[in-house]
Amino acid sequence: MNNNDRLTISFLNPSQCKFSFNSNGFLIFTLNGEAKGRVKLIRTYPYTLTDEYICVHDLDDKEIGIIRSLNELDAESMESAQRELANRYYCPTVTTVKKVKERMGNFYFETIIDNNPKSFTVRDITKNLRFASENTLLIFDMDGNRYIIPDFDKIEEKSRHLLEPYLY
Amino acid sequence: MDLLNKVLYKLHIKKRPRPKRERGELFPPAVKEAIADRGIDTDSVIHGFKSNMSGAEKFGDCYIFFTQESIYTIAFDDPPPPPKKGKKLPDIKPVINKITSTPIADADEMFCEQYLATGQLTYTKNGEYYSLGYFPVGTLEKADTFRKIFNAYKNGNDYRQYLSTATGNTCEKCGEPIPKGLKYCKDCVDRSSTIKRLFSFFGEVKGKMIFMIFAVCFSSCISLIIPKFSTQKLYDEVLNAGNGASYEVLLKGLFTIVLTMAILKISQQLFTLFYQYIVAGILPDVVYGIKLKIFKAMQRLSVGFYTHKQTGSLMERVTRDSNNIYWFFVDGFPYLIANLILVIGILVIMFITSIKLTLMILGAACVIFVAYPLINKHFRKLHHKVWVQYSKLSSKVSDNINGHRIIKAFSKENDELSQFSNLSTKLYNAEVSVTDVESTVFPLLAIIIYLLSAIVLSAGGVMATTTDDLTVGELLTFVVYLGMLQQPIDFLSWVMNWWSRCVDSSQRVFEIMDTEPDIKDKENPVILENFRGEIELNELQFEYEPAHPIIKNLSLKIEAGEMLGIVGKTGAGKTTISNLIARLYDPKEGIVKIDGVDVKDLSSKQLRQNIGIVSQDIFLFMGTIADNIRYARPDATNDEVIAAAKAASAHGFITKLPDGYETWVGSGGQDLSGGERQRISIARTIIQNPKILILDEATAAMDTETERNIQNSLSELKAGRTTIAIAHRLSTLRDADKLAVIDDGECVEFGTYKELMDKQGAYYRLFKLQEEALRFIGIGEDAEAKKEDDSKDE
Repeated sequence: MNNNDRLTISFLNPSQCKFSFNSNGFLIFTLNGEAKGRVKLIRTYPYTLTDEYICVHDLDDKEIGIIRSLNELDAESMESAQRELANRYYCPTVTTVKKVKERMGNFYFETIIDNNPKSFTVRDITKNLRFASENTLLIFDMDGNRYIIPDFDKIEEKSRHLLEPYLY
Repeated sequence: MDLLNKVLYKLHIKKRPRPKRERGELFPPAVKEAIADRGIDTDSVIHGFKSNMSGAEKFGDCYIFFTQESIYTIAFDDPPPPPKKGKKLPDIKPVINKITSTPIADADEMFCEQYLATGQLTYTKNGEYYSLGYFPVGTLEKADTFRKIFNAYKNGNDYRQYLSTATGNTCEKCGEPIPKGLKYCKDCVDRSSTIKRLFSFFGEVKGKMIFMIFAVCFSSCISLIIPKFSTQKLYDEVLNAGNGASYEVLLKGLFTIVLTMAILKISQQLFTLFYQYIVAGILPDVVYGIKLKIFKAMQRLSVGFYTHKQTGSLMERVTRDSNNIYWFFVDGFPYLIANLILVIGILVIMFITSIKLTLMILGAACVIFVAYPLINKHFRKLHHKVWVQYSKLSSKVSDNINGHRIIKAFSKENDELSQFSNLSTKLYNAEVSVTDVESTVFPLLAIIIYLLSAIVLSAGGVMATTTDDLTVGELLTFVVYLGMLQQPIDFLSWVMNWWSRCVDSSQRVFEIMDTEPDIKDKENPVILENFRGEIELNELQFEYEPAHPIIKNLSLKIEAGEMLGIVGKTGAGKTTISNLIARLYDPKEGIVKIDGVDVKDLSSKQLRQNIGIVSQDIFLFMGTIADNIRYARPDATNDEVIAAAKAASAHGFITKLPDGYETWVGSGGQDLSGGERQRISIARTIIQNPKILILDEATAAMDTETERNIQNSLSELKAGRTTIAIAHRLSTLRDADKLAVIDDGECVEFGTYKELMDKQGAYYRLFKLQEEALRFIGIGEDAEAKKEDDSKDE
């Protein structure tokens, strides 16, 4: 890699990029006709630009290049890349907070995720309940699991009232 | 009986019975049965874990395990939604949704991939990847242990060594799975044990506590009887005695009342003074004890504990949490007893005076009892909002002050001002909303209270004038008691919050006291009579976070008195090696031996006394430069301090400081440059005179000349001790007997400088790259030095 390579962003030519899933369900990448095998897709702005500035890494975590926007890819590649990103960046979405109970400094949450009840424990609540962007709220439980409320203003009022006292 | 139990459960007096589960058991009995029904023998499972995800983006019960023949992924149907409150939980058997099995022979190697909130277990067969299943990121450690166990089993290695780390966290009482770091699940947390322990702090001052409680009780009892003796007697026996009473009798009556009052008031004040005196005597001792216990517990904990906890939260435990406990016991506990006695006493006297009127008062008080908590809850929210905005504003100010140079350099003063102004506006709005509510709710509540009191008192007036049930004196006493009731009720309404804050704080304090250090000495550790400093690393593996190995299978041997140079890229694991040698962490796999003994068997005191580390993180304690140099050996003489500073090339700059060796450094002390601080830390290690010297980028912050000076001093010190020098700058390692190139947690090259240069491998490439870079910026001396050394070698 020479100096120029280091200083310029290596944007990939979308017309040369092909993404598809192999028979085992893993994303594979072809660049300008050359098969690159399994690759990782990484969002550089995971909350605000979910389909733009997507880094393509090989399995050894070496960057192959960046795709400026998935919209510039052909329909099949775009769909495959979006599916892979949705899978990699899947974060359980809390739709309702039913109860927040505090006992001995631990906060016991009773929530609804994917229409199923889900309970988890949060410690150090001011650090583990925080906004990732203007309205996206992240919750981290004691095991290190991550939950998301994509738009805090849009969840029902009762859930909002339950969380508001702890938001920093 | 059922109804009684329900009431007891509801009031948290009795705990609901919960099914006991065998600890560490992978499958609950019903799941075991469902799996067995499909012809899979669960007793032959070698290892497995509950993955909690039945698909890529779906939570659900799922088990991944392997037997001698196959790897299984078994996903279950979602259980039905829990019944509504009061309804009985139906007995539903788990239903298997999907079984995937893979013959063991088909899986060459298993991998654990981590995504944002989930992860995937995969395996390869002839280089092709296949998926086994998904898991939430909180289960990563279990999944990674499963991977390790499987790979070890598959390769015929000893997989049992991993089994000890594979047991999950379960509640010590009911066996339910619980998050890591908790002992009990939320239903088994016992508040009373915390309270018992909290009071145990006062065990040594039990006698004084009993005296204090007596004094509080007496003081409250006296306040209770004062209105009875003053208002009632004054009105009934003096003011309302009728025209027939003689002047002398009235005067005598008045004098008796005034005298009784004076005696009562003085004795009440004496009792109050007495209990305050006792409190002042007990509490500093108790709080000193708590702080000392936390600090002692923190000193004994391993480095790993500090890396996982934020310094701020630990600081809070020593200061804020112990203060929370302190303030509750100083300002809360005595007054809690006093106010409880007052409330009970006042109500009893009121009932004795007039049952009817008291019942009416209690009826009216119900309105207040309902309204108060609601209002309080609302206010707490509003106050919290103010607190949040205030914290944001404070953080902004602190950010601004710390970053003032950058702000000025980028000319961002106006932007900062506008951000500050935005935050200020938000704080203003939050404060205005509190004031708005306060100015409407409280007067309204006061009006309601006055109206209710007026109604009750009117009724009392009617009773006093028309019936014989109540005298005017009794009515007036009643009014005084009513007024007296408000303050203790106010106190009791918020003291409970205070109490729960105190219990929470004590819980956090106990958490530190109860944490077992990861690194512990054996019962009878080996004490080496002659610590030589021979180091042997045997197939070391280490990771700070699961599935992110830092050291992978590293083996090295350093003879006593030798110098080993470790080179490698940033993040290759060089510093971790020194941490493992000093036993700041224990390796996940493999052994670190010193003089042929496993470091886990050695006494950590002797080990650390004989290992000196000069690291990249330079920390100077609050105190003088001489104190800092003497840190490892407080009995070092002034001569030794100066000699060590000279050896570390620090003497020159220290003597230029106006206060010399007595210059105050550390927090709030003299500003020293990175290089100066580093030289003090080198002097500190030199004075320790360790058998093993670890220099972790020790001279990185220095110019070449200073580095050379220190190198020369260190070369003399190296005599007779084992030295491990970690460096980016290869010139630092020119005296090394052996060199090890570390890449991605593995030792890729090992040998003498000459051997590695002749080999033209990784070290040679690094050397050439650095030579080129130095020539490029016009500094060829390092390369020149090497050439000189080469010629000497030849």
